[in-house]
Amino acid sequence: MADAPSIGPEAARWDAPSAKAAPLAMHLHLERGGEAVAVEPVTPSDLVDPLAELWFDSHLRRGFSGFGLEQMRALLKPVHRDDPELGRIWEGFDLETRNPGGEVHSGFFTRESLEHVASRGARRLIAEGRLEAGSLYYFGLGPAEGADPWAEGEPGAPIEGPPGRGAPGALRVPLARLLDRATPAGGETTEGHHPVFFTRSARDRAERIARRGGDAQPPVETGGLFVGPLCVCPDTDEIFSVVTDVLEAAETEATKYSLTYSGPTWARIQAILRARRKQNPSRHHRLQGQHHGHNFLPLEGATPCAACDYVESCTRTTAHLSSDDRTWCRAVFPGEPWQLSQVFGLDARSRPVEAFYGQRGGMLVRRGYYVIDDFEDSLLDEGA
Amino acid sequence: MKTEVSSPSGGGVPDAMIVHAVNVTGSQEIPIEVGPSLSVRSVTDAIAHRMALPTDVAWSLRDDRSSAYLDDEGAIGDQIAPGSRVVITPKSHLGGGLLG
Repeated sequence: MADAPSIGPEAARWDAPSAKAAPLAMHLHLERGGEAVAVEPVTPSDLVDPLAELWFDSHLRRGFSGFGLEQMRALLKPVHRDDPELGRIWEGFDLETRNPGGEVHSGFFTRESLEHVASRGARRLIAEGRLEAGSLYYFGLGPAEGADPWAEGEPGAPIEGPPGRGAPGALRVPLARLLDRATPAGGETTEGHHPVFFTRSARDRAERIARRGGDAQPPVETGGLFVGPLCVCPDTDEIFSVVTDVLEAAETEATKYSLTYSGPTWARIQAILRARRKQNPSRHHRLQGQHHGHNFLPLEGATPCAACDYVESCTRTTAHLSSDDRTWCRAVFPGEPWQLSQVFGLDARSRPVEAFYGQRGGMLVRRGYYVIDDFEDSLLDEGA
Repeated sequence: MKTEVSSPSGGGVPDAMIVHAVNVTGSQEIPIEVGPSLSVRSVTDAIAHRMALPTDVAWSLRDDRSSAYLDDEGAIGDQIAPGSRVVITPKSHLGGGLLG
């Protein structure tokens, strides 16, 4: 496997044919069941995360870890049901592919996985003065204008991976060796998620960094990036993540409710990563995700609800990915289905809480992880 | 998106130059041929399109060697040398504002 993504043999030109337009669109409605007031096209970039997830499940985790995302080809097929009142409702879409072993795999993605497309359409409506900011609207998936990928008998619309995205490098490590020494943390791991391990020091350092901003006056958001190798199990072909370190985001622009990485922030992170990749033990280190702190109380510190003394756990917390957080993750980790996110926040009684996320169904969803005491060279398979 | 690339000529200022565009995680890299007189903004938009990066995020280019952001309005050929590596960086922020 290559350490770095492959670069195409020929330089791309501006006037090279662009990727084919996706045949999907998000239809926006101001009333439930009303006429669509806008049709926002689904672009090829909107489908990169679903396609990458299918690539991860059908190729990388099936023994074809040298297969690049740029080589991926899939067919997009609609999934719908007929409602007696509302007519045909597009619930989402399937992506189907065949791996080099001849196995056919498919993955279902709900229309919610493309919610950002609806948000983009809504922003356009707001800019045009046709929708007030904060107003309710409805969205549904449907065909793009002039497209009919839904016609009976159609095999599906072809989509392909983005250029310049080779296979990720990975260390060969028997998964069982890590599971034997791992402690579950962060909640349940939904079926289908790839295993994720944190060394105890990396996990603790992430929380220290994220909560540090809570000590500032006024409090600010602080955070960093997860670093470590992707690993492939020689016994099962499973791919899994190991986070061995955390890089603090320095020289950021931070406020109580936001955290912006500056040019120097990225330059420092990339310099460190480049240096590590030159060292043998860390040659496969990559950025695997982000963490940060929401160092403020929910609902601006409103009094806890009346049932607070009787409930086992408080659901009113700031440990959630916000809409801005999700947009940032889509921008920084597109096509990286192993991406991880962690938010450290507070509940209504100021108790520390955390939420951990991974990609499933084209979206970042809650999941758990494992903690291990260390990750030393003796864990590596021979020849790794 | 379609952006002009000038045709070859007999010398002086090159009509086209190759730059290597890489994303912030280093997981995607593409070589791309651009006209030196093109604005950085148009080059940035075209790179984002070519790399299939999200279209609802604004992007900027950073010279990987100097770490400096390129001036969106200036010509790319005035700001980096042929063969340079540029990092395409999202103008986006984390933040829990709506949760507060």
